[in-house]
Amino acid sequence: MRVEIDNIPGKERKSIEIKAGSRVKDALEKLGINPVAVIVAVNGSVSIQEKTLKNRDRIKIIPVVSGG
Amino acid sequence: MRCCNKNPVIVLQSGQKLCKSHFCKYFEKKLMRTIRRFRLLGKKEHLGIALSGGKDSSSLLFALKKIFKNNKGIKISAILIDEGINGYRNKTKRRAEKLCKKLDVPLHVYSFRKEFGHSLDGILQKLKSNPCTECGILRRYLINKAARSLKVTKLATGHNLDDEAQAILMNQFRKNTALQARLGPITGISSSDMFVPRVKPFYLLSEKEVALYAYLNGLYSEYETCPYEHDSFRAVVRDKLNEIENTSQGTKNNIVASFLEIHPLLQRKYKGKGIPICSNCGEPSSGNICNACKLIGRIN
Repeated sequence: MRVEIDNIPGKERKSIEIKAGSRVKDALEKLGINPVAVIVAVNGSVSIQEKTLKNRDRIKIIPVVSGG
Repeated sequence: MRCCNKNPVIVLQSGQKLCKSHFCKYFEKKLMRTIRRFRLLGKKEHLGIALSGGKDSSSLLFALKKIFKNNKGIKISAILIDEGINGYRNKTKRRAEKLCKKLDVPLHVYSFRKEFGHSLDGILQKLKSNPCTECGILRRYLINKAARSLKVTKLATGHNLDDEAQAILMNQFRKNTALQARLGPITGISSSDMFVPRVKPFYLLSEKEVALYAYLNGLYSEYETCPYEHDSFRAVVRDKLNEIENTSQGTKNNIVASFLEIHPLLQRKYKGKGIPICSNCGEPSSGNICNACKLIGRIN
């Protein structure tokens, strides 16, 4: 199945292919993003990283780190 | 904490899942427990929030204003230091102004350019030195001076558990034991009328918890990072620590908890006889001339 990724830290918006039944944390692992350093919203709602994804879900990645 | 378990937004270290509403309650409760445990505030205070407009300080102002809304003994003001970082501080300053207006909190802005005659960008062009070191020296100097002139009794900063764990490790790596003694939920080892005590109410809350609280409360949606931030040693330590936390959950908590055990010993060892005064500007100093005066002297 495919999911849409928004706001990857430092990268453009993109779509990735993952196995059916994958969780948010699996998608992050595929993207090489440390789950400790981000908050994730799936289809506009903040979600835990254990959430199972569905085809065409839109995942927004919000970095927790900010300076200043 | 019991939770309805509908649409969880976080899994705590204990494994418990919390929804938005129960997470915010948990967060504010933990904040109050931290204030009580370390006796950060008295019954009557003029609390100055060091506000940058970023997620940490915005969340701190928002949460403390909410917690103390019916407490007549706690007066809250916000202080913003404008270092003069082109394309960054203007944006966060506008957000800080908007938040203060919404919460009905007076905001006092002090700038490097007005106080020192140079913006941080200008200083770095002349000195070609470490941005975070120079900025930290001038920021700490100016915020203390500002807090004192506003008759603030405690200055609260948005430093969180991650910031503290990083600082502890950085001091270890550099063998800065005397600086280590100055860490902790209340900054500093000596007291002086010239120095406004600094407290860290987010001391036991992780950066992720603070970011989540900020996001859920609509304080802002996109986080900007200081353009000089990537140059720092702190950023390297932060990323390594996050890697370890990912495989060994609780590492940051353990670093801070073990530090708190030895902190009283460090404080006793490095306790000075009061805080010296800079012979040039009359502000608190670590020696005869303060670091801010030394730095400005190098530019002029």
